[in-house]
Amino acid sequence: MRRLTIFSSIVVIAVGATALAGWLTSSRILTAIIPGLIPMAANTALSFTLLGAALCVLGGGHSWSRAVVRLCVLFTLTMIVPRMVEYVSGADFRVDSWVIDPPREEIGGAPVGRMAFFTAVCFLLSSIALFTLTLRARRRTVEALAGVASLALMSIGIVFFVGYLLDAPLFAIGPTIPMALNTSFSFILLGVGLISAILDQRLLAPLPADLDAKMLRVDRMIIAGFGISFSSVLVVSIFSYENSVRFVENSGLISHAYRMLSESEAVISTMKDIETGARGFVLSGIPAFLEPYEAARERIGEQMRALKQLEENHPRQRDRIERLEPFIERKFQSSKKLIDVYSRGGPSAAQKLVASGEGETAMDSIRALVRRLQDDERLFLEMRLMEHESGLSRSITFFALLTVLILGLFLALYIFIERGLTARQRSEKALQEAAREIEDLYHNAPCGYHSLDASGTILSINNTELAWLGYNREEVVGMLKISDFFTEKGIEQFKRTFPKFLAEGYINDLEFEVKRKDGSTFRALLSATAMTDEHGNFVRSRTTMFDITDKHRALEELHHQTELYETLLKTQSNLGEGVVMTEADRIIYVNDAFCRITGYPEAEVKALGSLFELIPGPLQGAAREQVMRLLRGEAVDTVQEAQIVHKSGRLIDLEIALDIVHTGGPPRLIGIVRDITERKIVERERRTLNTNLQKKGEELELANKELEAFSYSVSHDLRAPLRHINGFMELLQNHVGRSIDEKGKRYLTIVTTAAKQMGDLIDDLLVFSRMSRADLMQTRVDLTSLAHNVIQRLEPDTQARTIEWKVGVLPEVLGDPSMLRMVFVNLLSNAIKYTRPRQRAVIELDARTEANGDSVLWVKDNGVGFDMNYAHKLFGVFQRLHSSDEFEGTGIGLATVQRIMLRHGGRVWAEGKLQEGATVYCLFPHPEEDIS
Amino acid sequence: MNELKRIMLVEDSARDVELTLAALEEHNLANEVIVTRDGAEALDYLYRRGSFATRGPGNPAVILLDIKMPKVDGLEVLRHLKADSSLNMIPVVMLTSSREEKDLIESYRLGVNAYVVKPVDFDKFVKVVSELGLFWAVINETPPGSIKQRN
Repeated sequence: MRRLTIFSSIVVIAVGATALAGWLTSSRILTAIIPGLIPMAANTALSFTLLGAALCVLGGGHSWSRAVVRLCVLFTLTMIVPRMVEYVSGADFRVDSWVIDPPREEIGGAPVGRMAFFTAVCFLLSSIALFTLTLRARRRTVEALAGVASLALMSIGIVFFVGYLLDAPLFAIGPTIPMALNTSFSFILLGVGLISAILDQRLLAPLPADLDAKMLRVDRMIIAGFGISFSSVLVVSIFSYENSVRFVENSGLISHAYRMLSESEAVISTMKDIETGARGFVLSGIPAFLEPYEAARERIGEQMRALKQLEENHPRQRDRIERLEPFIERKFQSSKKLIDVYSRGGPSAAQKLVASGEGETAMDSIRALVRRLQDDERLFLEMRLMEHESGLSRSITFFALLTVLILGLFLALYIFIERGLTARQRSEKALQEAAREIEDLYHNAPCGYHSLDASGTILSINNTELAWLGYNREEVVGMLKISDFFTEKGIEQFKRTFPKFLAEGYINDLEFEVKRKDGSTFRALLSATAMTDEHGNFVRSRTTMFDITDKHRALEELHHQTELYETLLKTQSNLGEGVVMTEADRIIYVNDAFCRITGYPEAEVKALGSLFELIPGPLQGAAREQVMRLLRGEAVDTVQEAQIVHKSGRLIDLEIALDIVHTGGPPRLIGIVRDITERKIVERERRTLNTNLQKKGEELELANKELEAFSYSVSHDLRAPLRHINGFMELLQNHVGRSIDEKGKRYLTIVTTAAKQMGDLIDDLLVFSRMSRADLMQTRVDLTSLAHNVIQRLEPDTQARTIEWKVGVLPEVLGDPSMLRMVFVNLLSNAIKYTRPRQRAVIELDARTEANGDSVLWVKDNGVGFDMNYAHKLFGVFQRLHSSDEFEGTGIGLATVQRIMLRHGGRVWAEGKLQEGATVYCLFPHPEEDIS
Repeated sequence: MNELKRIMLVEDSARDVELTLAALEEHNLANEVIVTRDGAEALDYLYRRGSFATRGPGNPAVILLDIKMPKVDGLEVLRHLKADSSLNMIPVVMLTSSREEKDLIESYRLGVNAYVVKPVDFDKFVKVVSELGLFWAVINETPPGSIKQRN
């Protein structure tokens, strides 16, 4: 299209420039091309040169081209617009003389060197179209305007050009001045160039090679449209031609009639010359009057011949002409007789002859005949003239119709092409869109794509894969082979598989280890198909790549887990825990331990019909029911005890944990069994033992109760008689009073003392017993303040003594406050008691915390001490290391202390040496729980 | 002179009765002492039934009650007394040999007014009993309905 524009514009420039050159050199052949035709005006030639140049640079796309076009258009308009104004207003600006002053000359009635009206119109149209094309953003209506203007000027050009071709006489339609042949030709080319430029701009995008069938149809219809248009032009032209021919013929007939009229008039005039010549001579006698007569005589023959020749084809007129001849002869004869009479008879004879009117009748007949001849001819002429008039208007109508038709056809064609182009553009856009989509899919799909040639070199690769590999496209395409991305192991695999791929045309899901640019690797799955040419030769591969690192890792993980589970099962087996797995009753897995427990080798276990066969007959039903409940998803104890029959027939007690595993197929039952036969035996023994123990406990409780009753009796019943002894001894003493002698008094005293001693004994025993039985309270007890409290309480016993108390910081312990008080009372009163022989007693109370958190409290005195050999006897009930005479006491105090300490989870011991004091230690265990 | 109120002693042991009376005697408190020898007899007295059906009305100012007795023991007597709205205002002092905690707790739970352990030592015994008699029969204001006798 662009080439057509350039070609048209160059031809237009050439024609314009040639005409300009013609004007400058006054060469008519350059301005008119064909001699005899009207030449192109000088300003027309300049305008063509300018607009041709404008059209030529229009499609250049340079920034200046737009400015050049507009400049050319402006320049042209300065010549065209005034010319149009001249036509419209009738004023004369001498516009046509601005460039070159044309000579005063006419061709065919038209002045030379003046721009025709239609030429100006066409230039205006071209200027509009060109200017429109320089607009950057155009509406379609504006573009359509340019198209219509171009088509119009082309049509006008064609009309005039055809007019020339057909030699039509009316190419000067419009206000008198005709368009030159080369002008009309140039306008056709300018129109073609403009239209192709418009279409060209609509087709900026390159045409894809494979336009669809619709586009092909549009193209065909365009060709058909052009065909119809040209055919129509041809038909109209032929019709115009015929019309013109008839017009020319008619013109011939009219001129023939006019000649006929003038010739017949000439005959009359000649005859008058004869008559007047003869009469003049007769009247005057002067021979000079005979000259016209003579001349007429000579002329008439010629005239009659011409007349005859004119009416050769019209028999009626010819007959009239022939009938005229005798009258002309008679007139001659009468005129000659007159001259002869005059010559012979003189003027009187001649007058007599004239008066006879001999020659008059002939002349009248001639006149009448000619009149008839002329009347007929005039009638004919009138008809021809009328025909001429109608032919002229018909011609004008035809040309107008021709112009309109051509314009209309081209318009329709233009619209059609334009529509077609729009549709094409739309479909191209859709195609481009689709292409972009496909490209995007190729590049950004979540898998790698590449193509290899037969050598394995990468021909193309998508963005996804490039990103995976860490390369730029430039580094890869055509530069690297696919094997460059494989690890050594991968290369070996590639060497094996690539030839196979070339031969078979596909590979499926081959796993490769792929190396990235940075050296790291990933697992990829490659599949490819081969693209081949029509001969079946390999062209390139279509390869997909999937990163399966994650999947691979998952597989490895699975592998590890499997290993883990296998180890677990083995370890379990080593521990003696049997594992069995069944699927739909069939045993599919057992471990060694299970075989050991059941006594069956693995193969034999698996050969069993079901796991239930191992269960003793009577229990099978219940076992099946349990499994069914488990399968139904009902709650079942996860660990149960069961019995199975060992291969040897022996019954084995089992602990079994059952669960269901769903692995996609039928549910699998997993059982973990432990042989608890031994444990069962132990349990049975333990149960027996427990029963015995319980019995013993009950006995013990009974004994305790008895002891309690005993203590109760002791406290109540034993003391009552004692009290009575005391009471009545007192009453006795009062009663016997002074009458009793010293001996009797002593006896009474002994009895009283013994009774009192026994009371003390009973009281201490009761305390001891209560300490053993009473419920143990557990509260926090501050031993320091307890110690001080007890010391204070004991003060009445120590008032006469010198005792130095050394009380350190004692711990806080968890225990029964009243029992602990008893401990302190016992220990401190012991210390006070056994230091009695000392002038100055030193009693020390202190404590330390052992490494394990136990607290050890001690009471140290500087008393009489004891022999360590008897240390073990210190804490026995009623055990004493001193006589009651030496130191009073019941021998129960330390036993009570020991009992209390034992009940607190601690212990007590003593260290001492005779006469060097004793130390009693009490250990309080580290409280297990926080004392809070 | 003070009003002397009636003391009731419930004691199965004749020796204890004698010793107690001896102790009360020392302070001239023994005149109006009613002695019953077990729980059943004590209740008979209080409810004026059986052998006491003919006695005059009025309740003792205090009941000195031993625990360990045949037939009906002291705790049972106490339970009866404190459960009966006509008798539960009579002050009851347990006078017993028992130092057993459970006896002590049970007695107080039943609403005893005092709990005294009979000391083994006679001097102490006399002192305790006479002080008891002095307090309950002389110093303490008795609830309405108690038998009073001008000395």
